[in-house]
Amino acid sequence: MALKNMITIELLVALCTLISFIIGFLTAVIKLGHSATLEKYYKKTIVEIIEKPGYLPKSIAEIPTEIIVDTKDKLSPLRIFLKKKIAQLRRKKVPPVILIFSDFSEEEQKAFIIEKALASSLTSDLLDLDFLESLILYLAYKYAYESNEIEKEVVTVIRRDFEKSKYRNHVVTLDSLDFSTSTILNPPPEEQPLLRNIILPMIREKEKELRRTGANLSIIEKWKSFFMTLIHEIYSKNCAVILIGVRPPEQYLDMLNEALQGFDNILICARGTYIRLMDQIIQAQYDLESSKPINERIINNYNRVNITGWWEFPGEKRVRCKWVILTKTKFF
Amino acid sequence: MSDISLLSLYIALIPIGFIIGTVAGYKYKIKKTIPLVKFVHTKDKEKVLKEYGVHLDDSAKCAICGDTITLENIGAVIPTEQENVFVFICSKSKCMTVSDLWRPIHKFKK
Repeated sequence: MALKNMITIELLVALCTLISFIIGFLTAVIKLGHSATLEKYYKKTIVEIIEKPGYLPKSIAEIPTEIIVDTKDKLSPLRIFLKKKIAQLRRKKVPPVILIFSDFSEEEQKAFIIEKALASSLTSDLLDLDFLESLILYLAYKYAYESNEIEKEVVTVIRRDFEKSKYRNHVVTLDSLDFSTSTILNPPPEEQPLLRNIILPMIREKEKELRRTGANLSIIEKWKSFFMTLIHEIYSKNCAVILIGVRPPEQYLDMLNEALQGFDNILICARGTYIRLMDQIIQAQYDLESSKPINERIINNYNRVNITGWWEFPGEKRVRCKWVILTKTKFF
Repeated sequence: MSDISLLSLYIALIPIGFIIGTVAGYKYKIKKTIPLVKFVHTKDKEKVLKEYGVHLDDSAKCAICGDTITLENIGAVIPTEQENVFVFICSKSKCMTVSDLWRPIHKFKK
């Protein structure tokens, strides 16, 4: 009887060891290897985009938070099978495979995955493709450079791609704090990089509106032309930027007057309760000039474009936002 | 209403809330997709395209720049919700960078 019990216990131990070994092996297949590293790179980048303000998430719900990568390892078929099964158990859908044809090195594959994570959240119909490319590569480079977990070789690959892109000077300048301080007529004490806090949110909100209203291609192209010209004018320092806030209204009126004397383009922005104040200031300028003869009214030389939307940054309160662009160029 | 009746009502509401939460969570989860990306060496292009039933003809254009896709310049193949209909991206670095690979598969959620 004792012998029988011993055999049973030994069998149980052996069975448990076997099961542990199988589980360990399968976990290693899923978690180790180059494909798993690429998947981790993607997930980390997405988490970074979602958690840290400064990037442009079009809509978090639209971006897959994880991917499965197949790099043709020896254990790849088993790995993909297991990953698909796990996805099924988690009630997630794995659509048919996306094929990428390239002779990428391992570092280039990692760089590609980081760029794709950013591209999926940045895609915009209102930006020129060359500008979009520079923007994606800039943000990928910035993210990889600032991250302690990304290998140097991968950073070098992204940097190489970024340096080849057409609008690299534009994106770097527009994202610089020095440039924003010199361009905003009333620079606030907090950091306000123009690209991150003003230009990209404005484009995103307009894009949302155009999608909602089902705008046709010609309208989209007109807006694209408008935004690309505006970006170029801001970069060339031919656009004054005024942020409406806590100062007395007279000060903003003076700023607007000053801007009308020296700039062909003026971008005025306000958030929340200050939107009303912004409208009142612009109206006050029209009223101020209404006593003058028509040909002497400076503000009449400008076309007014209004964009309204929401200020949506992760970790910040969602508030209404309005951008008014006074421009001498006629777009619409 | 007595205190005991109120308490019973609250207790009864707990499983109802749990059921609603589970159903909502299920609906949300089922919408999530996990894209599967396969890196293919250029020397295996022909074999893999055949394997996945992708045929290149004059109608195959790059979704970004509009160039005709051939075996030489193919960069990526993305499936759509329709069987045997694919979105193609050419191998130019600009097209490969700006393309949103997940865009066509968003429709798989429905």
